Amino acid sequence: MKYTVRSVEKHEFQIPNKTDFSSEFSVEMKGKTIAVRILETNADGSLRLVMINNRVIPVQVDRRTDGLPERVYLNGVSYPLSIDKVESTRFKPPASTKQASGQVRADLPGQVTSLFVSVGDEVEKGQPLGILEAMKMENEILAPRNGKIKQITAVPGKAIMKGDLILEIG
Amino acid sequence: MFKKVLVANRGLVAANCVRAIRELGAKSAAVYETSDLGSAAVRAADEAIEISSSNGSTAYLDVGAIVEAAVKVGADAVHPGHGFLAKSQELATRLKERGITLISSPSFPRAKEIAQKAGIGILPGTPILRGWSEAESSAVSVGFPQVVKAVSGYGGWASRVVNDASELKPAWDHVSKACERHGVPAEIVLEKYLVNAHQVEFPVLRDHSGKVLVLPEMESSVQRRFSKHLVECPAPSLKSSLRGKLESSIPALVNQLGLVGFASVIFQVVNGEAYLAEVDGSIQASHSATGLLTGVNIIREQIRVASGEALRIQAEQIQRKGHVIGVLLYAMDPYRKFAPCPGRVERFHAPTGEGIFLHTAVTAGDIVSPHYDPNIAKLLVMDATRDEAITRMRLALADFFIDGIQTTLPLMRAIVESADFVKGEVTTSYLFTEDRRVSLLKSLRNSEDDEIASLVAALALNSDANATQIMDSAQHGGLLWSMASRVLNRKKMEF
Repeated sequence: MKYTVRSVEKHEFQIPNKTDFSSEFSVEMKGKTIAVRILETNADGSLRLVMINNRVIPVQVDRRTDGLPERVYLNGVSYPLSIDKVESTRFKPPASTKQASGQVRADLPGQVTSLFVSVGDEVEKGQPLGILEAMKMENEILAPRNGKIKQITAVPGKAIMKGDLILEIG
Repeated sequence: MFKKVLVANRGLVAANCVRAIRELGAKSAAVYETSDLGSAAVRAADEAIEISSSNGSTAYLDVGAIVEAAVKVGADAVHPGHGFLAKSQELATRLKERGITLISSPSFPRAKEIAQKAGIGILPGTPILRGWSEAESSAVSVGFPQVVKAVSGYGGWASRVVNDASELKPAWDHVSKACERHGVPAEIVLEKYLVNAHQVEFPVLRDHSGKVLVLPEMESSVQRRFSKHLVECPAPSLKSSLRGKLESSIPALVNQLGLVGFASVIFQVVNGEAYLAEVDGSIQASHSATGLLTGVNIIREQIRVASGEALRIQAEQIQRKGHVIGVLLYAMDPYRKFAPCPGRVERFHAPTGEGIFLHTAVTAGDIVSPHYDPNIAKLLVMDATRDEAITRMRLALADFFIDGIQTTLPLMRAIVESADFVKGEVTTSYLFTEDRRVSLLKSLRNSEDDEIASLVAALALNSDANATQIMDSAQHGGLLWSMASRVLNRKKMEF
């Protein structure tokens, strides 16, 4: 199967059609062959430790909500990337990217100490909406997408649990 | 020596205090909140006592709960580690009423005044302010930029940099409210903020008879929001003439302050001029760097002197050979503007070997709690010269692998590899801007790894396809695209 991945540059990989990837296999890339071994995976099957061209590398793959990889960490160093194309006879990747949810939830237990927006405000993706304090640190709450503030449920100064809704962008 | 010392802290510092107490032959008692029952300090201590808070904040900051615990276990001394309790005058007073010693000096309000009279430069600042109106009228004399800071606080929440008068009120309100939330007294001062300063600290011990030992200085310029991230001993930025001058000014200063125990005399240095910022009467996590270089266990000596013993180490016995670099590691994600990353540590592979030393209170399987300080480890390296120590640290950081939570490791790698750091030019303003954070993190990337990262993404997608195919052939003998999408819709990795 052929995968085209775009990071800083565009890369095309040909991964052999087989089901057993427990031993070393070769990935073809334009003009060269890369030796790959998958050394360890997590309980959910995601990759944890790989050996590429005789280098052992701890990895973590972050995915978008549609499941496509969007960021790979090589021993903690982040590489943002996107999947351009998958050419396969046996596998169809998800067709489109869903729009990011407008629900902004607390990703940590703590408290919202301030909010910079009110219901009805137009916000842009990445805009700071408020501050969530946890672990004695302040964390900006960023808008996940463009839109208008539909509702605000968090009360500044009140404790909030992980996963609680802070506000919603409509 | 004390008979029994209660350690009133948690995490790494508590474990180090417990060990020092036991090495001295005294009994140790650790306090804990339920979630810390299995922690390193609790395991290492002779006994452990549960504390709970009355005010909804954490019991580790609750003076009443600590005093009660100390009385209950029959301790004749309390070691608060560092942080809020180490600077709490209230704790010192309440323990003294019960004949218990606090092994820390909460504050030296006269330090700058005494230093100034002795001809030492000082960082302009105010005493503790009685309220907003006093802050408003003092701000101009301090000068801008300045810092609004809570004296009993530490880390980013307790301090705010103010660039001009218009920013003063919001900063004042912010710090006051933060004190209230953390249940600490709103003792706030204004202090001049020096741009591009190097921070240099001299650890010092003084016994009851007035004998003073000044230890080699340490540089702690790599900071973010007043939290230290990397320290070096000796200080690379300090010229030897200034070093001699500062070192020789310290004995008179601590004599006049009446220090008994340990303190860190902290200077900020700009353009070859040193300004006394603070005399801090508590130990710091970063003092392990000095300890490693000199062979002096600072916590142990601090306890000895506090118990009334005479200082036994002579200045001539202090080792000053070599160079130590220490990295304080935090469970924060530098890729997400230092967002805290509590969670379960899946794997913890720390570098070991010649000249590498690790202090940590977490290991694989442990939960880093969202309720406490995010400092999870400190990694120290020692080598003959600074250049060699940098190389050793660079490789040690690259070999350090922590899975499950994100940490400041990548950023520390980038700093240690940067030309600015190698030249000794990093100052306290270095990590101040977003641009710096982004450019440091980008510097870790290279085109070879860019290709490998892309390959890993393809491998991840391929293993999804493979999982589908295996399931298909086992269960249905055909292809079912819906399975693929189910695998693909796996919950997004949480931080």
